[in-house]
Amino acid sequence: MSGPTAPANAPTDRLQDGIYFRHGKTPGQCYRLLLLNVDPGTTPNDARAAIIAVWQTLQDLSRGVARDLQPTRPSDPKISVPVASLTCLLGFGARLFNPDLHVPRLMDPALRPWELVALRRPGAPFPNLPWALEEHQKPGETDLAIQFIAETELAVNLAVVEVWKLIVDRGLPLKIVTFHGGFARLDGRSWIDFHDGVNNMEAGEERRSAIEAVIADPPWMEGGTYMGFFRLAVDLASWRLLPREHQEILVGRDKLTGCPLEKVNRGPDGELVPVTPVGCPVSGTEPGSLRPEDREVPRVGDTLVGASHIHRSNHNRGAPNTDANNRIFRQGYEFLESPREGELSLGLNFVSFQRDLRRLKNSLRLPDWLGDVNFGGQVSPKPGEPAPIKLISAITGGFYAVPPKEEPFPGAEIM
Amino acid sequence: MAKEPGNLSDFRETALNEWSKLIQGYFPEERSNQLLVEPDDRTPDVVAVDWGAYPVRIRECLQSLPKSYRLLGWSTPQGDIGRADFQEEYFEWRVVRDATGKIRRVEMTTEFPEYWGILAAHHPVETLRLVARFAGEPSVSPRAVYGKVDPFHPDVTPEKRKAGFVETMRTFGGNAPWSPYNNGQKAICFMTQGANTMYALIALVAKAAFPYGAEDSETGELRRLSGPEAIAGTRQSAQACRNSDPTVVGATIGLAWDGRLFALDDPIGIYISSVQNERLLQPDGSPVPLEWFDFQRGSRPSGSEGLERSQRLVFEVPPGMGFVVGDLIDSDTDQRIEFGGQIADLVTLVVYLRVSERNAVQTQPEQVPMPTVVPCEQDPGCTYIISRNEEFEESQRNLLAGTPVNILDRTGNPIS
Repeated sequence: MSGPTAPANAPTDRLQDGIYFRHGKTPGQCYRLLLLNVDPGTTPNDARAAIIAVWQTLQDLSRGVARDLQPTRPSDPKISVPVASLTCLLGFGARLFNPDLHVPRLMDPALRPWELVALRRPGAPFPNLPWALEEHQKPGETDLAIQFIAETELAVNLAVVEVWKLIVDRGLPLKIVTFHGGFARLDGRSWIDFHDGVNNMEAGEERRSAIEAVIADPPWMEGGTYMGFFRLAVDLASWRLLPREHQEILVGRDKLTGCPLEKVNRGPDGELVPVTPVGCPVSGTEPGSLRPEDREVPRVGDTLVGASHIHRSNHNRGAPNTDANNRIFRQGYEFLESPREGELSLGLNFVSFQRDLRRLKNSLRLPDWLGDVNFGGQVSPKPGEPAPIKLISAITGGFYAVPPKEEPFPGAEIM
Repeated sequence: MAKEPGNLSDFRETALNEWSKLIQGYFPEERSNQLLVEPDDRTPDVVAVDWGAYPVRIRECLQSLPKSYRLLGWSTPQGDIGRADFQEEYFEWRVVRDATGKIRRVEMTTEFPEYWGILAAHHPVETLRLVARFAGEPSVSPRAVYGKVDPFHPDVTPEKRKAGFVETMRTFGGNAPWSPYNNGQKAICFMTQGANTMYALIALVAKAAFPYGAEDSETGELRRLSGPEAIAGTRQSAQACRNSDPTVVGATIGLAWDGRLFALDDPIGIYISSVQNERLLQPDGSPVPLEWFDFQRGSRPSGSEGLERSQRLVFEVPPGMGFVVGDLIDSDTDQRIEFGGQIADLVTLVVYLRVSERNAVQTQPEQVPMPTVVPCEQDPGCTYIISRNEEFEESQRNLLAGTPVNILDRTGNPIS
């Protein structure tokens, strides 16, 4: 007798929901990252019970079940809240494993994945990625991070509020530190007006091979992944001062069509003339019309194009399953806020998933990648070429281990 | 005439001739018409292909970063076995420890054994001087470098010098070199792991210099093969699951696919392109300055001009600081530095190619069935690594117990 068989299209991986790497799966339009700490003095058993309660509540919510709308009278109707394809994803921060911050200790420090460390240290997080002004900075590193993605603002906000209600109602030893929100742009562009994520990997196995932690180091993370989160402020005012040609050379693509630059010619007066491949775009102006080779562009010999953002962030343009290529799967959300009267702050919630955090760190730290410039371009340009621009700074950020799916919650085996 | 790696100037004319001939001889006669033996006017642009120096395959097989650090640092009284067997990314290192076992200095190299063979054959005085410099000694005995061959005997030929040098200073069968001046005991001069040769690099590029493609099983479109796919499905001279080989193979196929002409840059070499110094923290929490890493044996870029071509890196804390390398913390892991592999993990290597514009030649994709790539943790080569690791761990237990059964003599037999 054989047991029940899984549906033919059932996923063979154990990655948590909320990472949209599969064919036909696109992330919802709305994003929240809820950051929580476990209260000081909490015992491991109490922390575990609290996480179970939160996770169960969120599983119920993702099926439309809200605690305060449960029938309490015989005549009550069954209410389902509109959760708009809500997904929830749980991550553990390095803080959770820190015995100095948790007495009694919540986790055996030896279980911490070696590369899961605090981002906030003296100095900038990466050589050319500075922190934003201190008054703009926000918390980003906590014991727990829960990512909510859904098609509506209501759904992701409901999730945050349901967790808050549960903590209050049950006196759970958890504290909401903050949350970060964002939205997807339906036009596939970012605040700097260029297409974003055009050369993200193909859906399916290619993405999975970059995302899934395939080795048991540590064993409890096998089949899981690691999340990198940065809330990046974009200096749009400075960007808009650049001529279009310079913007395109810094990005590596045509601003309107998304076509990759192949080289940069010099005009009769020495002006820079970006050149895109023959036949691009095929038709229309949206990234959907780009050929595969215009999305996943090959190596270039042109020095200016080779130093652009799209080539620096994917320097080798090699296979996602080879560590040297530092491939990561990005799933970003824009934000817009007014931190105080008269101020506008906008930027990107940079969210990446990768099988190994060193991929993300390497791409932000290595020279010729993004280690020696803030966004793109040459370190020492010649006269007339685009000068390096300090375009982005980190309002906050953090690294999280995202364990594989498990009952009663992901990562339960080590708590 | 080919230049010396790193733009060095150790050779005089005869040696330089031999070096040039050696390079040319390494290129197969039947090769891709897109691969040039040397760059020329048609290939003006530089493409840098880089990879991490840490031997990632060892971690994948052992499923553990700490275990891989230990195995890669396997050292015996007969020399560094971990290096001879597993430091396979065109990068090797030795560790110098103080009396308490803390790391005091790490010396790293990407120099080719073939280069040193020619140097030893034609320039024995310079060879011995260089070895002595690397060992920090005023001089070294010719016997320790040339074995039974007296390099200064009037009847000795360059070929005999080279043979004596190779026998003494290079690796055989996964054992460490006999000479303490290249087995890690007193010095490390050049690479000795079997795959870390110029021949291997040229073969790697030559075999990959074709526009290999396959129909993508998910999109149905013909696309170029990645490095791992090409290694799995075409005839390559490459080891899967390394950082270096799949990266170089993938990049080379990409150039061929784009219809470019290309050549390994002159001077050919594996160069140390960067080190992540800021990852290391001093006891006061401040990052280690780059100046503590001494880049040697190659030309350095100047301003915006030139390329990094160093082939040797020496890392130590300057005297008088009150601490040593073993007191530093890797901020990426929050671990103290205990193994040379942790320093290797900071290093990025690069090989430079000179390329033409796209579509300089008409190419037709060489279509093959889409290969199946075995995940690295299931690679057949893991069996050997796991077995050697068990041998290593057993030897460490025996050493602790005072019964070193696992020390091998020059022929690989255990010393009783």
